[in-house]
Order: sequence, then C-alpha cells, then structure tokens
Amino acid sequence: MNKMTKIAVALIVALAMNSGYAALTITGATASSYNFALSNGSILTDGAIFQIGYYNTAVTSASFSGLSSASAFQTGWTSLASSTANAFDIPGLRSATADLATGINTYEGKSLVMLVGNASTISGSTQVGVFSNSSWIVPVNPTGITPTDYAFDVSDVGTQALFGSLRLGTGAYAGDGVVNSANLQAIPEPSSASLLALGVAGLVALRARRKS
Amino acid sequence: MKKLNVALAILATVAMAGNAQTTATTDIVGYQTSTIAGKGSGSSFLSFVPNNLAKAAIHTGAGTAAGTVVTLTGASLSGSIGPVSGVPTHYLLVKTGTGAGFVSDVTAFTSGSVTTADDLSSSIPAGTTVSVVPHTKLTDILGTSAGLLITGGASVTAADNVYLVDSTGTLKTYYYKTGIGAGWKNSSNVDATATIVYPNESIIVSRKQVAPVSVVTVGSVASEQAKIVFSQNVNSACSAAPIAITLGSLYPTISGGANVSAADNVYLINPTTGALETFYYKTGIGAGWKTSSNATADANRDISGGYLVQRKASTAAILTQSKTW
Repeated sequence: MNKMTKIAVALIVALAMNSGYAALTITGATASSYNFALSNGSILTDGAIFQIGYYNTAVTSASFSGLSSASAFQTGWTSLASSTANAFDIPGLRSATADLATGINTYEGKSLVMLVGNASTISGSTQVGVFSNSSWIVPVNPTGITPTDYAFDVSDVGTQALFGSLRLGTGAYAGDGVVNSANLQAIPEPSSASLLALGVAGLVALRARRKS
Repeated sequence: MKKLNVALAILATVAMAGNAQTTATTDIVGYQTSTIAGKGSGSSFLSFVPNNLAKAAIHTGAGTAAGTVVTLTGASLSGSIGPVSGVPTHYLLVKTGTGAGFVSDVTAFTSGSVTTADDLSSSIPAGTTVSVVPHTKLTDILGTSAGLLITGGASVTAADNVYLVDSTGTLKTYYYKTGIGAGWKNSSNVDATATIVYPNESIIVSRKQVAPVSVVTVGSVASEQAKIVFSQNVNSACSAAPIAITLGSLYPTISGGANVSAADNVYLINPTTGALETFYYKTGIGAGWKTSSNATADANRDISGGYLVQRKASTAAILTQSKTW
C-alpha cells in the first residue's frame, strides 16, 4: 500500500522502517525457454525444491562426480532463496528471489548457482541438478534509493550443467509446445556406488596380480 | 521530458424527465501526454509519469464518519469495491472541508458505507462530501499485452523497468514479462497485474530502448485541493493536476537542514543523463535550495511531472496543494 493514503493521525504513529531505502533483488529462474525436468525427461513436479545460492569454493562438474548422497551436494553450499512452487502457474518452471537490503554486501562477487532436487528438500532428493554460468555474479548492492534488480536464467548464454544436463528441444511447457529442458541426474545410491568402487578396486587388484 | 498538453473538457449531462429538466455537471475530464524518454547513449534513462487524472467516482455525496467507517448518504454500493487478493480496488476521497484531498483505501463496504484503511473521521465532520473512486492500475497507464507502451522482456534485467514506492518507503521494481508466463510481474516474477498507482503518485520508468514513448493518461481533474503525505523514507509524488508546481513549493512543508544529510531530500531526474539528482533546502547561512554538492538549485524548476521526497523524520509532512486550476 502506498504511503500517500496515510493521513496525519495515522502517520504520527512511528513506523518501523529501518530497512534502508533501496535493495538488491536477485532472481534466479528457469522462465524463459527452459523447464526443469527429471532425468527421464518428465517435467519437474510442483513441490520439488529449487534453490539459488553459491558454493564457498569454485565448483566444476568434477566437484560433483562420484557424490553418492544428495546431502553431499550441500557441502559448502549457501542457499540465498528457494522455492518449491512453479512459476507463472506452469509446471517445470521455477523462480526464487533473494531480496537484500542496502548494506548487505556479504554476497557481492559470489558466483551464483542453481541447485535443484526432485523432492521438497535437496537432502531428500534422489535426483539433483546443478547449473552455473560464469556470468552469474552477485552485483554490488546499491546505496541510492533506486533498487538494483539482477535476474539470471537457465537460458542465459553460457549456462552449463555441472550435474545433470541441458537438452535442446526436449522439454514441454504446458500448452506452449516443445522447448528446452534442464534435466536433473540420478544420484548413485550408496550401495551402488560402493559396489562400483569395489568392482573397480577388484579389477585393479586383478590387473596387478596378473602383472606380478 | 514531460509535456503537459492538457485538453480539458467540461462534460455536462442534461437529463430530461418529463417536463422537468435536471442538469448534472461531472468532474472536469481530459487527457495528458507524458513522454518516457529513450535511453540515449546510456544503458537506461529515467522518466516520471504522473498519475493525477482519476477514474470517475462511483459515488459522491455526504459522508458521516465514525472511526474508519464512513456512512454514505444515498449510496447503493455493489460489486467489487473492497480489496481483491489483498490489493485495494477503490479509495475514499474527502472532497470538502479542511481535510479535502485526503484519501484512504477502502478495505470493506456495505451498500451504504465503506471502511477505510485510515481513520479519516477528523477530516469528515458532518456535511462533508466524499467520493468513492476506483484505483488507477499500472495497466491503465502503461497498458498490457498488445497495448503495452513500454518494452517488455524475458526478465527484469532485459525489460524496461517501472518503479513504485511500497508501504515501507522503498522503490520496488515491476516489468512486463514477455514469452512464457507473459504479463506484469514484480522483480520476483510474481504476478503484478493488479498493482495500483495511488492518486498523485508518479511512476518512474527506466527505459532501456532508444526510442521515446508517449503515454496518454485520461481521467478527471481533481475538483478540490490535494493532500500529499510524505512519511518516513521515500515518497513518490507529482502535481495534483496537470499544472506546474515548483521545487520551491515543497519548503517549508518538508524539512530543511544544515546539509544534505540532515535535510529531507528531493530527487529529480536530470534531463540530460536520465539519472536521479538530489536536492535539499539548506537552512542557516546560505539558505536556499541546493544540490547535493551545495550548488544553488533552481527553486522555480517545474516538478509537476514527478518527484521523490525522502523524508528523514518519523513524523509525516503533509503538503497541501491548493486548487489553482
């Protein structure tokens, strides 16, 4: 509600407005030409988690290979905002916003990342997607009265899937035809991962024995 | 940047009832053309778009206030008058008396009364005339879909931006999203189709395209003085009618001070750079209107198209713009 409606009597009451005058609003989304999808191509359902944030160290696809639990994807992770609801009433789309009041410069220069799961929490997910872009950098928080709005989207040029995949012409918005999809990837179950590791170890041992 | 090409027309309706003739005179209505400047050589350029022409009142008559409930003599209200999904759709306007010009959102209604967000009872003594007026929406001024006047985009970063002041005195961003999920959104991508622009509030548009845009607003010119309230933090305002007002007219309603930090600040758009510039009224030695770097400012500068006031005190300042039109 605009302050113009306030009349004198009402305005004598002290207003608790100490949040500063401007704000940096960071909005991460898949809302342009991509939707989120599971590894089999089906649209990410409502209720599945979408987070924007950053890792405390630089990450590459190698950072996530071999991880055997969803919670491991949260190591060093700071979530700035999250959403489990779809965006624009369209399944598969997501949007999350971090509204930083003036003076909060903690995140300036951080490399933004999208972390997506197929459950309501990342740790409860069996599939995860990690998407990044070298241009996704938290800008300077403004000090004037006009806000700064920074939006980033999966469709931005240079976006890469660090875990998961980007597929062209495979997704489908409800009623909007075929578009692209940012797909999650199944996390190897611990038992599977262990068996895989054991198998590799066995092969190595066998090879060593034969050499000897 | 803003042209006040106002064409006013007094509309008179003559109703014939048998041999009796009744003449009812409506408000003065007209239109106003504002220009949203192109971005020039920079990446964006700010412009004010004033909202000082109102929609036609759905009821005007005597009001009797008891707290926030205002009983309307002869009213027969119906339809959607209260808030929809928390967004007000109408406001009550005090039209006569010393409180003429005060407005407050309608939060509830019956056939013969409205409840307002603020207690206007001290401004509505017996015999006061009030009106119930539909709010002007952002879409009424800047359009939507095929009639969109500014340039939309896939994200808030790509599109022209619109700034309105929220209840905390902070500028909030809106844009028209194109493509998937098209429509007016706030910067969090939440639907903003119902966003309203308050009477005598100015919209700030950040244009990212080279070509300027003309915005024609249509509506009634106020038939009474205006009360423009500046509460703590940032307020957006414009002249209460399409007539010139000067920077100098804001003082002493707003507070001056020994320096820009101590005084209330006024923000105007630099017509060359399209950026906001800060002004204040310096008190004491060298008193007068100054820029933030203490250069003498033109107190006669026309600010009718829009201006921002950053109020420092927790108490409000109320500007009464006398009816001179």
